[in-house]
Amino acid sequence: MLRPLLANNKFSLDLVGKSLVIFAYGQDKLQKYNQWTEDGQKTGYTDETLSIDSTADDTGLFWMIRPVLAILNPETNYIDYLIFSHPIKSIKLTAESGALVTAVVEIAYGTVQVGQLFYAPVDRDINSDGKPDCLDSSIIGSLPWLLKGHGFSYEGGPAPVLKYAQFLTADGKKFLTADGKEFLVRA
Amino acid sequence: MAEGDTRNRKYPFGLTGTALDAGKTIQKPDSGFINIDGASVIWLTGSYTGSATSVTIVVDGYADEDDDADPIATMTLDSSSAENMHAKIQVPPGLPFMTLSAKNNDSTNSAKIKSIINMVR
Repeated sequence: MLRPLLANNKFSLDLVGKSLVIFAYGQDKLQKYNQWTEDGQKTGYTDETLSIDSTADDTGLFWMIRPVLAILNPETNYIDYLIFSHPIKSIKLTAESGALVTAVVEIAYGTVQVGQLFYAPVDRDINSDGKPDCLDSSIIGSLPWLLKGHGFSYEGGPAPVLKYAQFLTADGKKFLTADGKEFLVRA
Repeated sequence: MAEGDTRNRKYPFGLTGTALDAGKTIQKPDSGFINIDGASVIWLTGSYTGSATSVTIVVDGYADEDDDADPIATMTLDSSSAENMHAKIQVPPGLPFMTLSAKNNDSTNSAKIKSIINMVR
Protein backbone atom coordinates (compact mmCIF):
# COMPACT_ATOMS: atom_id res chain seq x y z
CA MET A 1 0.00 0.00 0.00
CA LEU A 2 1.15 3.46 -0.86
CA ARG A 3 2.74 5.34 2.03
CA PRO A 4 3.87 8.81 0.96
CA LEU A 5 6.39 10.47 3.23
CA LEU A 6 5.84 14.17 3.69
CA ALA A 7 8.85 16.49 3.81
CA ASN A 8 8.67 20.25 3.39
CA ASN A 9 5.06 19.83 2.32
CA LYS A 10 6.17 17.62 -0.58
CA PHE A 11 6.18 13.92 -1.24
CA SER A 12 7.15 11.71 -4.15
CA LEU A 13 5.03 9.03 -5.82
CA ASP A 14 6.51 6.14 -7.81
CA LEU A 15 4.65 5.92 -11.11
CA VAL A 16 6.76 3.34 -12.96
CA GLY A 17 4.33 1.04 -14.77
CA LYS A 18 1.40 2.92 -13.26
CA SER A 19 -1.05 5.62 -14.26
CA LEU A 20 -1.78 8.89 -12.49
CA VAL A 21 -5.45 9.85 -12.52
CA ILE A 22 -6.82 13.28 -11.70
CA PHE A 23 -10.55 13.86 -11.36
CA ALA A 24 -11.06 16.84 -13.66
CA TYR A 25 -13.96 18.87 -15.01
CA GLY A 26 -15.10 17.43 -18.35
CA GLN A 27 -13.05 15.41 -20.77
CA ASP A 28 -10.99 18.23 -22.23
CA LYS A 29 -9.24 19.31 -19.02
CA LEU A 30 -5.99 17.72 -17.88
CA GLN A 31 -6.65 15.24 -20.67
CA LYS A 32 -3.64 12.99 -20.14
CA TYR A 33 -4.55 12.44 -16.53
CA ASN A 34 -8.29 12.74 -16.12
CA GLN A 35 -10.67 9.94 -15.28
CA TRP A 36 -11.95 9.64 -18.82
CA THR A 37 -8.56 8.48 -20.09
CA GLU A 38 -9.35 4.78 -20.37
CA ASP A 39 -6.80 3.13 -18.07
CA GLY A 40 -4.69 6.28 -18.12
CA GLN A 41 -1.91 4.47 -19.91
CA LYS A 42 -1.19 7.00 -22.59
CA THR A 43 2.25 7.44 -24.03
CA GLY A 44 4.04 10.62 -24.92
CA TYR A 45 4.45 11.97 -21.40
CA THR A 46 7.21 14.51 -20.82
CA ASP A 47 8.59 16.26 -17.78
CA GLU A 48 5.86 18.64 -16.76
CA THR A 49 4.61 20.69 -13.83
CA LEU A 50 0.90 20.97 -13.09
CA SER A 51 -0.02 23.98 -10.97
CA ILE A 52 -3.02 25.30 -9.09
CA ASP A 53 -1.99 28.77 -10.30
CA SER A 54 -2.70 27.75 -13.89
CA THR A 55 -5.99 27.52 -15.77
CA ALA A 56 -4.32 25.95 -18.83
CA ASP A 57 -6.32 23.00 -20.09
CA ASP A 58 -3.34 20.62 -20.04
CA THR A 59 -1.56 21.64 -16.85
CA GLY A 60 -3.95 23.67 -14.70
CA LEU A 61 -4.76 22.02 -11.40
CA PHE A 62 -7.46 24.67 -11.21
CA TRP A 63 -9.52 22.08 -13.09
CA MET A 64 -9.33 19.38 -10.44
CA ILE A 65 -12.91 18.52 -9.48
CA ARG A 66 -11.89 17.11 -6.09
CA PRO A 67 -8.55 16.99 -4.25
CA VAL A 68 -8.08 13.30 -4.96
CA LEU A 69 -5.35 11.45 -6.87
CA ALA A 70 -5.57 7.85 -8.00
CA ILE A 71 -2.66 5.65 -9.04
CA LEU A 72 -3.65 2.68 -11.17
CA ASN A 73 -1.42 -0.34 -11.51
CA PRO A 74 -2.61 -2.22 -14.62
CA GLU A 75 -0.30 -5.13 -13.81
CA THR A 76 -1.58 -5.88 -10.30
CA ASN A 77 -5.03 -4.21 -10.56
CA TYR A 78 -4.47 -2.37 -7.28
CA ILE A 79 -5.54 1.26 -7.09
CA ASP A 80 -3.90 3.53 -4.54
CA TYR A 81 -5.71 6.75 -3.77
CA LEU A 82 -4.89 9.93 -1.90
CA ILE A 83 -7.53 12.25 -0.49
CA PHE A 84 -6.27 15.73 0.34
CA SER A 85 -7.96 18.00 2.84
CA HIS A 86 -7.07 21.05 0.73
CA PRO A 87 -6.25 21.73 -2.93
CA ILE A 88 -2.90 20.50 -4.24
CA LYS A 89 -0.43 23.29 -4.96
CA SER A 90 1.58 21.57 -7.69
CA ILE A 91 2.53 18.21 -9.18
CA LYS A 92 5.95 17.92 -10.79
CA LEU A 93 6.05 14.96 -13.17
CA THR A 94 9.11 13.26 -14.59
CA ALA A 95 8.96 10.93 -17.57
CA GLU A 96 11.28 8.61 -19.45
CA SER A 97 10.68 7.26 -22.93
CA GLY A 98 7.19 8.75 -22.89
CA ALA A 99 6.12 7.02 -19.66
CA LEU A 100 5.64 8.61 -16.25
CA VAL A 101 8.33 7.84 -13.65
CA THR A 102 7.63 9.99 -10.59
CA ALA A 103 5.31 12.68 -9.33
CA VAL A 104 6.37 15.14 -6.65
CA VAL A 105 3.20 16.47 -5.05
CA GLU A 106 3.33 19.76 -3.18
CA ILE A 107 0.64 20.93 -0.77
CA ALA A 108 0.48 24.29 0.96
CA TYR A 109 -1.03 22.85 4.11
CA GLY A 110 -3.51 20.25 5.30
CA THR A 111 -3.46 16.48 5.51
CA VAL A 112 -3.56 13.54 3.16
CA GLN A 113 -5.38 10.26 3.67
CA VAL A 114 -4.28 7.21 1.68
CA GLY A 115 -6.15 4.04 0.79
CA GLN A 116 -6.19 1.15 -1.61
CA LEU A 117 -8.73 -0.98 -3.41
CA PHE A 118 -8.54 -3.91 -5.79
CA TYR A 119 -10.32 -3.78 -9.14
CA ALA A 120 -9.72 -6.38 -11.83
CA PRO A 121 -9.18 -5.46 -14.58
CA VAL A 122 -8.58 -1.74 -14.14
CA ASP A 123 -9.08 -1.04 -17.86
CA ARG A 124 -12.50 -2.68 -18.26
CA ASP A 125 -15.18 -0.35 -19.64
CA ILE A 126 -18.35 -2.38 -19.58
CA ASN A 127 -20.68 0.46 -20.64
CA SER A 128 -18.26 1.75 -23.33
CA ASP A 129 -18.47 5.35 -22.14
CA GLY A 130 -14.72 5.90 -22.39
CA LYS A 131 -14.30 5.89 -18.64
CA PRO A 132 -12.88 2.71 -17.05
CA ASP A 133 -15.29 1.02 -14.67
CA CYS A 134 -12.91 1.39 -11.74
CA LEU A 135 -13.27 5.21 -12.12
CA ASP A 136 -16.97 5.29 -13.00
CA SER A 137 -19.17 6.46 -10.13
CA SER A 138 -22.12 4.45 -11.43
CA ILE A 139 -20.24 1.15 -10.97
CA ILE A 140 -20.43 -0.52 -7.55
CA GLY A 141 -16.93 -1.16 -6.27
CA SER A 142 -15.32 1.68 -8.24
CA LEU A 143 -13.14 4.29 -6.58
CA PRO A 144 -15.65 7.18 -6.97
CA TRP A 145 -18.40 4.89 -5.66
CA LEU A 146 -16.25 4.06 -2.63
CA LEU A 147 -15.47 7.73 -2.04
CA LYS A 148 -19.14 8.64 -1.90
CA GLY A 149 -18.77 7.59 1.69
CA HIS A 150 -16.47 10.58 2.10
CA GLY A 151 -19.17 12.89 0.81
CA PHE A 152 -17.62 13.19 -2.65
CA SER A 153 -19.64 13.30 -5.84
CA TYR A 154 -18.01 12.68 -9.20
CA GLU A 155 -20.30 13.52 -12.06
CA GLY A 156 -18.77 13.56 -15.50
CA GLY A 157 -19.84 15.56 -18.50
CA PRO A 158 -18.95 19.02 -19.70
CA ALA A 159 -17.21 21.57 -17.55
CA PRO A 160 -19.62 23.66 -15.51
CA VAL A 161 -19.79 27.41 -15.81
CA LEU A 162 -17.35 28.82 -13.33
CA LYS A 163 -17.62 32.12 -11.59
CA TYR A 164 -14.55 34.10 -10.69
CA ALA A 165 -14.05 36.71 -8.05
CA GLN A 166 -11.23 39.20 -7.87
CA PHE A 167 -9.88 40.96 -4.84
CA LEU A 168 -9.97 44.71 -5.43
CA THR A 169 -8.81 47.59 -3.30
CA ALA A 170 -11.21 50.39 -2.37
CA ASP A 171 -10.09 52.45 -5.37
CA GLY A 172 -10.84 49.56 -7.75
CA LYS A 173 -7.28 48.40 -8.26
CA LYS A 174 -6.33 44.74 -8.11
CA PHE A 175 -5.25 43.39 -4.76
CA LEU A 176 -2.10 41.34 -5.30
CA THR A 177 -0.23 38.70 -3.36
CA ALA A 178 3.17 39.43 -1.84
CA ASP A 179 4.88 38.11 -4.98
CA GLY A 180 2.73 40.24 -7.28
CA LYS A 181 0.20 37.63 -8.39
CA GLU A 182 -3.55 38.12 -8.62
CA PHE A 183 -5.92 36.32 -6.33
CA LEU A 184 -8.27 34.06 -8.27
CA VAL A 185 -11.19 32.50 -6.46
CA ARG A 186 -13.39 29.81 -7.95
CA ALA A 187 -16.96 30.18 -6.76
CA MET B 1 0.70 -16.44 14.01
CA ALA B 2 4.31 -15.32 14.14
CA GLU B 3 6.34 -16.34 17.20
CA GLY B 4 6.00 -13.79 19.98
CA ASP B 5 3.04 -12.18 18.29
CA THR B 6 0.70 -11.23 21.12
CA ARG B 7 -1.68 -9.08 19.15
CA ASN B 8 -5.35 -9.74 19.54
CA ARG B 9 -6.60 -11.28 16.32
CA LYS B 10 -10.18 -11.98 15.40
CA TYR B 11 -11.55 -13.96 12.49
CA PRO B 12 -15.30 -13.23 12.44
CA PHE B 13 -15.79 -15.86 9.76
CA GLY B 14 -13.17 -18.30 11.01
CA LEU B 15 -9.71 -19.07 9.68
CA THR B 16 -11.08 -20.53 6.48
CA GLY B 17 -13.62 -17.82 5.85
CA THR B 18 -17.21 -17.79 4.75
CA ALA B 19 -19.00 -18.39 1.46
CA LEU B 20 -21.53 -15.95 0.03
CA ASP B 21 -23.83 -16.63 -2.87
CA ALA B 22 -23.34 -13.78 -5.30
CA GLY B 23 -26.51 -14.22 -7.31
CA LYS B 24 -27.85 -11.26 -5.38
CA THR B 25 -26.58 -8.96 -2.69
CA ILE B 26 -26.28 -10.88 0.54
CA GLN B 27 -24.90 -9.58 3.77
CA LYS B 28 -22.93 -11.58 6.28
CA PRO B 29 -23.52 -12.18 9.07
CA ASP B 30 -27.13 -12.82 8.18
CA SER B 31 -28.38 -10.65 10.99
CA GLY B 32 -26.62 -7.83 12.76
CA PHE B 33 -23.11 -6.56 12.19
CA ILE B 34 -19.51 -7.59 12.46
CA ASN B 35 -18.16 -5.91 15.60
CA ILE B 36 -14.90 -4.22 14.64
CA ASP B 37 -13.89 -4.19 18.29
CA GLY B 38 -11.30 -1.45 18.09
CA ALA B 39 -9.34 -2.84 15.15
CA SER B 40 -7.69 -0.17 13.01
CA VAL B 41 -6.62 -2.46 10.17
CA ILE B 42 -8.52 -5.34 8.61
CA TRP B 43 -7.08 -7.87 6.20
CA LEU B 44 -9.63 -8.98 3.62
CA THR B 45 -9.07 -12.08 1.52
CA GLY B 46 -11.40 -12.71 -1.41
CA SER B 47 -11.88 -15.29 -4.12
CA TYR B 48 -14.76 -16.80 -6.04
CA THR B 49 -15.84 -19.88 -7.87
CA GLY B 50 -18.39 -20.21 -10.65
CA SER B 51 -18.62 -19.06 -14.23
CA ALA B 52 -19.46 -15.40 -13.57
CA THR B 53 -17.10 -13.00 -15.28
CA SER B 54 -16.90 -10.50 -12.41
CA VAL B 55 -17.89 -10.16 -8.77
CA THR B 56 -17.54 -7.37 -6.22
CA ILE B 57 -17.07 -7.68 -2.47
CA VAL B 58 -18.10 -4.59 -0.51
CA VAL B 59 -17.25 -3.80 3.10
CA ASP B 60 -19.66 -1.24 4.57
CA GLY B 61 -19.13 0.67 7.80
CA TYR B 62 -21.80 1.79 10.27
CA ALA B 63 -21.69 4.26 13.15
CA ASP B 64 -24.55 2.45 14.89
CA GLU B 65 -27.40 0.05 14.17
CA ASP B 66 -29.55 2.77 12.58
CA ASP B 67 -26.80 4.30 10.45
CA ASP B 68 -26.83 4.11 6.67
CA ALA B 69 -24.03 2.10 5.10
CA ASP B 70 -20.88 3.85 3.92
CA PRO B 71 -18.48 1.72 1.89
CA ILE B 72 -15.00 1.55 3.42
CA ALA B 73 -13.47 -0.99 1.03
CA THR B 74 -14.21 -2.79 -2.21
CA MET B 75 -12.66 -5.68 -4.08
CA THR B 76 -13.67 -6.50 -7.66
CA LEU B 77 -12.47 -9.82 -9.00
CA ASP B 78 -12.54 -11.23 -12.52
CA SER B 79 -11.85 -14.71 -13.79
CA SER B 80 -8.16 -13.93 -14.25
CA SER B 81 -7.66 -12.87 -10.63
CA ALA B 82 -5.46 -15.06 -8.50
CA GLU B 83 -7.15 -17.56 -6.21
CA ASN B 84 -6.89 -15.37 -3.13
CA MET B 85 -6.65 -11.63 -3.49
CA HIS B 86 -5.91 -9.46 -0.50
CA ALA B 87 -6.78 -5.95 0.56
CA LYS B 88 -5.61 -3.99 3.57
CA ILE B 89 -8.50 -1.95 4.91
CA GLN B 90 -7.83 1.04 7.12
CA VAL B 91 -10.82 1.40 9.40
CA PRO B 92 -12.01 4.96 10.08
CA PRO B 93 -11.14 5.74 13.71
CA GLY B 94 -13.84 4.67 16.12
CA LEU B 95 -16.00 2.90 13.55
CA PRO B 96 -17.78 0.17 15.53
CA PHE B 97 -19.61 -2.01 12.97
CA MET B 98 -19.30 -3.33 9.46
CA THR B 99 -20.94 -5.75 7.09
CA LEU B 100 -19.69 -7.74 4.14
CA SER B 101 -21.74 -8.02 0.98
CA ALA B 102 -21.23 -9.64 -2.39
CA LYS B 103 -22.51 -8.58 -5.80
CA ASN B 104 -22.49 -10.59 -8.98
CA ASN B 105 -21.60 -8.32 -11.91
CA ASP B 106 -22.61 -11.02 -14.38
CA SER B 107 -26.36 -11.13 -14.99
CA THR B 108 -26.20 -14.58 -16.58
CA ASN B 109 -23.73 -16.74 -14.72
CA SER B 110 -23.60 -17.53 -11.01
CA ALA B 111 -20.77 -17.21 -8.54
CA LYS B 112 -19.95 -18.11 -4.98
CA ILE B 113 -17.62 -15.76 -3.17
CA LYS B 114 -15.33 -16.87 -0.39
CA SER B 115 -14.02 -14.29 2.00
CA ILE B 116 -11.83 -14.27 5.10
CA ILE B 117 -11.57 -11.30 7.43
CA ASN B 118 -8.63 -10.94 9.78
CA MET B 119 -8.90 -8.12 12.32
CA VAL B 120 -5.83 -7.13 14.32
CA ARG B 121 -5.59 -4.73 17.19
